Amino acid sequence: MINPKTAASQLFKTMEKPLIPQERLLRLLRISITQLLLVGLFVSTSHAEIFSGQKTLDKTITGKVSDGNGERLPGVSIVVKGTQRGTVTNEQGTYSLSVPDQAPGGGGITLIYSFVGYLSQEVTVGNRSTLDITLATDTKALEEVVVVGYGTQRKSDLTGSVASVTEKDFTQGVNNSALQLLNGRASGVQISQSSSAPGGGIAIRIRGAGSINSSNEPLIVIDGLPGASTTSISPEDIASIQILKDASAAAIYGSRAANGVVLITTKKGTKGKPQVNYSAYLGVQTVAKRMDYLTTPQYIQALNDLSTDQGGAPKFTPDQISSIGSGTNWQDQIFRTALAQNHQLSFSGGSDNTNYYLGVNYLNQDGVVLRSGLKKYNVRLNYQVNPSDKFKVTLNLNTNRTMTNNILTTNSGNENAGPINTALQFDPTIPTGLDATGRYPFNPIISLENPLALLYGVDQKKVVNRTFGTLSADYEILKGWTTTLRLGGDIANDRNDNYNSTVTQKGLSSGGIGSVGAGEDTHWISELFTTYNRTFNGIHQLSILGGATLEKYDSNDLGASSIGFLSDASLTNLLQSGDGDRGDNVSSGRSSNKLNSYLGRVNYTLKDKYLLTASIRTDGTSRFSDQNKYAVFPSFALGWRISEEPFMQQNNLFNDLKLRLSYGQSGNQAIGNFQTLQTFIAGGRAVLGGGLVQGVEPARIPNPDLRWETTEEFDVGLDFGIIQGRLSGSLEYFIKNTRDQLFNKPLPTTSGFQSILVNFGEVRNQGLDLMLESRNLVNDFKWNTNLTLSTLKNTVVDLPDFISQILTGGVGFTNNYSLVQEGSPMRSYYGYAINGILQSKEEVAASAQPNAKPGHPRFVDQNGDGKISPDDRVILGSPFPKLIVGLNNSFSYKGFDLNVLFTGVQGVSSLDNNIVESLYPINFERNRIAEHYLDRWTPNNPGAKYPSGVNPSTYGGALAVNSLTISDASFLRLKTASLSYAIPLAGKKVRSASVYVAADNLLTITKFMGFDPDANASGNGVERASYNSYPLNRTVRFGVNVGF
Amino acid sequence: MNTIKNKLSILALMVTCLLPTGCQDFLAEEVYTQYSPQDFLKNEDGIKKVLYGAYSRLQIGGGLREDQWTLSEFPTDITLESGGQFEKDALPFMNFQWDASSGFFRGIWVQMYIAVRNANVLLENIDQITSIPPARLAQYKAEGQFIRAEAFAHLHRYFGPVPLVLTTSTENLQPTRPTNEEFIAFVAKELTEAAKNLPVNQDLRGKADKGSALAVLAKFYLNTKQWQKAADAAKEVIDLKKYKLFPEIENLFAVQNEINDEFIYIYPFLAQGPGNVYMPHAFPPNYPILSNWINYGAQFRTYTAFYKTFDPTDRRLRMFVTEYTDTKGVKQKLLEDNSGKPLDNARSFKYTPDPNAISQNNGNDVPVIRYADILLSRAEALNEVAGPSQEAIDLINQVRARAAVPVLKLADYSTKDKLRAHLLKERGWEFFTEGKRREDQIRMGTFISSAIARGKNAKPFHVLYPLPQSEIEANLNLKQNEGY
Repeated sequence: MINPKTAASQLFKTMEKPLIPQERLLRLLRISITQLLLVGLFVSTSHAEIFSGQKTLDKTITGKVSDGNGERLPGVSIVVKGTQRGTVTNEQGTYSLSVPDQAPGGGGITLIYSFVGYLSQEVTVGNRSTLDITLATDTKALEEVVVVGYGTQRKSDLTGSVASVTEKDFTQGVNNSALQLLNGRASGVQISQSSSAPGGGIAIRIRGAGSINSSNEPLIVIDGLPGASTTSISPEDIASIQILKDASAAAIYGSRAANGVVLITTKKGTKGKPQVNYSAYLGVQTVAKRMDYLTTPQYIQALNDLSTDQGGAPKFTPDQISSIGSGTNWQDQIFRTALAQNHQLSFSGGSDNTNYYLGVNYLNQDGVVLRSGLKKYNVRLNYQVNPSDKFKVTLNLNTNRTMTNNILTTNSGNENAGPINTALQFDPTIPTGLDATGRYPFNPIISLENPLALLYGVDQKKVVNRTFGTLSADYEILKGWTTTLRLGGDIANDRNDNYNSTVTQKGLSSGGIGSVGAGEDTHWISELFTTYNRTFNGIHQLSILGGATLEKYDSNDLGASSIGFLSDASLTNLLQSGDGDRGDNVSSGRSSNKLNSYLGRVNYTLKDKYLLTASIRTDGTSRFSDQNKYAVFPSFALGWRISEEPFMQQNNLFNDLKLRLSYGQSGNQAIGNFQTLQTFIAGGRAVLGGGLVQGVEPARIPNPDLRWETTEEFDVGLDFGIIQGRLSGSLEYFIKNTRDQLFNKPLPTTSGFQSILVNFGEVRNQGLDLMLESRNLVNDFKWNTNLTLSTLKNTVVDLPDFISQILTGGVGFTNNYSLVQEGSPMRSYYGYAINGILQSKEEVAASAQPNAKPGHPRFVDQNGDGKISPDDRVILGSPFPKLIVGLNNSFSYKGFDLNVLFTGVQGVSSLDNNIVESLYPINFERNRIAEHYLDRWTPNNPGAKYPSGVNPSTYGGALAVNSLTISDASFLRLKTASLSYAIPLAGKKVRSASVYVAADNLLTITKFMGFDPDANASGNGVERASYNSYPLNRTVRFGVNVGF
Repeated sequence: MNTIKNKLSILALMVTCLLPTGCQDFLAEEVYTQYSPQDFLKNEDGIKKVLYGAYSRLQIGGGLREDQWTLSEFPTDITLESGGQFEKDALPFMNFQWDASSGFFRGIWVQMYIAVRNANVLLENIDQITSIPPARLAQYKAEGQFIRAEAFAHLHRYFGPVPLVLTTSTENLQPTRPTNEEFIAFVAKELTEAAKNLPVNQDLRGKADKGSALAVLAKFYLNTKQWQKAADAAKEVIDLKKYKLFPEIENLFAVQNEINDEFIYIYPFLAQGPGNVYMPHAFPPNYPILSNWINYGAQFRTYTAFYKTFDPTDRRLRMFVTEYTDTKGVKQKLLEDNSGKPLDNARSFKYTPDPNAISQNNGNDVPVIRYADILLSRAEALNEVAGPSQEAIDLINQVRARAAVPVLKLADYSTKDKLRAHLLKERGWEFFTEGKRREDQIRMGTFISSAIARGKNAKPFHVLYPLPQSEIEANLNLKQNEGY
């Protein structure tokens, strides 16, 4: 057995390195700015001394500084009170300081000893020349305070599972969404970028996904306002993000908490001199990875070979080949090097009665695909005023305008396909530029528009203006008893303009197609809650919360479109210039829903060791019928701070050890309106009398019994800190069951209705979350490692008896690949296993594919019935990673900081529809992935990796979902690496300054063929597919941060 | 100000919601975009809108391609498809490999049953609306009956007898299939009643009138082989003296001629949608088209063998394109290659491209039943009842004369079989591209043999399509057709 204490000290020792004393300054504090100031002060002081000479007699004080356990403390700062004179303890924890015999204002000399994590101590020198000091640990200061629902808690008091990420740990990059700050930083939290387009979607999954048919997105709460947007905010205004992972932490948010809750807290001003901070970067973005499609000569060769193999004449004659020349690489035509720039200016400060923070942000990101980009303006004001000691008024206000230019991103596969997919598959023998008639040329056989026509002929603009904030008043009625009234609002206006001009075939046939959609979404919330905190007899700490809330969501939209315009020049700015008789269309809509909730929570702590939390929330919604309007979401949690027990006091390994147990219930209200009502709706339009007449019809068979989808979660966690906190972390196990899923139960359609919404079914997520934070080197050269690691097992436990399986999915022309069935992960990939290539006619004859040809893939006849039928489909992969990992290493030396973040997922699959369309082309003349045809089976290449490509439709079609097209989407990515340098500053005008260079997405290790294994053509849902992906950007950022 | 008021009202509500009585008023669901059923079931105006809702489902709309060609011509000797994303959906129908999971079966099934439901809403509630004068009330009811019966008849052609759902009650959501006799009797009775109460002329084109109800009845009798009744019903249509053949068959399907005396019952289409999407599938590659047209990759082609059965002088041949000069100036042949090998690539341009089409949407109405069909149906029914007769020959000759082909002589048709065989050919020449071939071949018993002759693995059970798999799963009382 290794003695933990020895082991610890050895570990400590091996990391020690000889240090030059002056460099000690730099290892003192995590906040290097303060250190730098201190350096500045010393420099100036010593200079002053040199030039002014010594006016007073000095004497030298020596001594050593230790902690409560007798361990020497290096790096403790010692300052002569009232002066700027001081030093720090050395490696051995000793110091030597010459002090004047008299304080500046007269009187005895006092020294101030301070060190982060310890209580400062002031000692009067008197006559002594040796001063040995013991610093006591400052438990309160060490305690991180974390934001929880409707309040804050010391981290040590937490009983639920809360991941907390503060500004210094945010993942940097060209970030549009606050969620990107969390990438790789919190265990149990998967952030994936479903599209890398500027303003593209970010999916977040907290501990998997529990809902089959409803949303799996967590509730976002910004400064107490639920349902806020993570993109209509400047990431640089954010101070910290807490993720309420388990049901006990999240249950206080009741019916919206089933997928976890993300609490975003923005920056506040602090008392003191006004501070101005400016930060900016310029990013140079390129396509991180291009896809290798056949080059023009390869394409000609491949098509000629395939034509011959299919028994025809070569597709291209030598004359044609020579006239084609070098052809066109269409990826080169649509991609570009694009710039991104970001500027953030903030002002903050405060006095005794007020504090303020004002942040202004501008982000301008061009996309790496032509004609895509984003501009964003954001202003935030956080202002707090305390009219009296008992009364506090706080305003948090954010306003944002985001303008996005989007390229077409449909998952369609023909003339209406997006330009990226089109560029991949477009005929490489067609020259770039316009043809003799002034139009972009295309190959009519392949049913694809020219990619440049799609880029230059289609305008898609989206503008969102969003303002949200809260105004709250806190009044302390009695000591420890505070009541808060909080009013919040969120108003979002958006406008989408789409114009498809006559440059495209589709636009031409309609004379231009223009549409404008505008909408307004509002959310109002009023909350009244009261908290009571008191400690009884010094050992019973009690905190009680009670409150009620009312919320109303209202959204309305308006759409107008026309076709056949006088000219393309007016785009969507003059819809009335369209052909009114043939193509005008208008639409509008409105919906609202309301929530009423009551909430309560008790936190009880006995002797700082035994912790108990119980919470309850009752939510009522307008969406359910009277008998089911309200539902109760309780939670219960226990904590035991083992490290505080007497028997642990002699232990030097653990400075912190806590066991947590929790249980809670939360709900998912992602259900449409009116499901419990019988209504009539505007139904089909009949053509009568040569015109359209609007009909009406019943909307549904209502289900008055509908209730919330409910998630029950059990969580056990261990938080630990060892070797004086050099290594800390937490390990948690959770099991989460989501039951009463909302299902559209198929109805016999003889009723005229296709389905009825019912509650049924259960999905389980279970896994481990591990978080480790290690301070490997703590001296001048610092090295910190943060590891987040999560495992996940997602299982569909129970499906309704009326649905044995659900088969969905549709991307391009590939359908029904995503399976929900009992015992498997939700939305598993379902298709045919392939175990090689049929080599000979004999092998074909003996196989289950008598009509196949040598060179065709060999499908596994799972049930051995001698034919390949839908019954032979098996599960080929899961859309959930088995393992999610984030590894951050930061190194600092002097003013240099190097930060390297890896993120990765393992054990996840995706349907790569580009592979589908390459192995089984929609059309013979579409371009294909090079590898598939450079290593295709021919009689002379029997060991080929890929099938022959001869008559591929005979082994494609419904068979195209197979083990060749369901791809391993695991990856390890060097997400970001940054090197920054804090410029040493002597002057007082500039408080701090640093410059940095950073690279994002520098390296991705993956077997995946597509642009980005992380991308998802199905958006942010659980179902995954890769198709028409906007390519991942590799970005190099040059940045500066200046503080005044 | 509104914002402040809004907040104040929320605040006021909040105080009340803090009381133990709860907050049911606040949580009442507000409905802005849907209606209370009562709004539409209490007066004539509301009933009209319910009726429009029912018509909208009966008019096939966006399901035209599947209904008229995929289900009704691809399994026959007239039309084939290749290319485009649609090919993989079309292949099973060309090759007799369809199964119950095809979405096309569900598509037509669901659409017709929604029409039935909407008609049932009307029929169940209309008697309570006393403000409608009796004559108009009878007419609305007749339209409801027509829509419901025609929806059933439509489904019968594909699936055989299907559940007769005659109520909007949700008490029994799992109805059973009636016997074929029960089904046929019910539909015939409903159509007969509807025809009795429908006017000869309607206010809006596209609505059911006496002629369309009788025509549907005649075709229903014909397809269910009730020959005498079919002959009688067809006679009733003829005796209305409302209909006659349009003189130029090759121009009958052009948009400018769609208001004519020949179309009896139509699916109406408009260029602004719902559109007739046939032509984008018929244009051959690089065919010179107007800038407002579009040419799809999925190509609808004609078997050369079928084309060759025509009399070369037949005016109906004018509706085919067999060669063209493409946009690159290259002359393309569609019928046969230079060695005389059939290309099966001639194009039926029956739905003359709409000069005002908007992209894929052409405004050409689709005749479900036109007068030529009634003439040939009566001829067929008469032949089946009593063998060849001068009346039958004359009926056929009306159609042939319009096509400018030599008239038939009774003497040449000595047997019922001979005339039936000719009628099948005549119907092919007359009704290609009109979605009639499958039912004609089935009725005349050649559907399977013709497929086998084309090399398809067709089995006798293929004369009925399978009920949609999802429906079988949702309704345990539903029995699947034999063979599936």
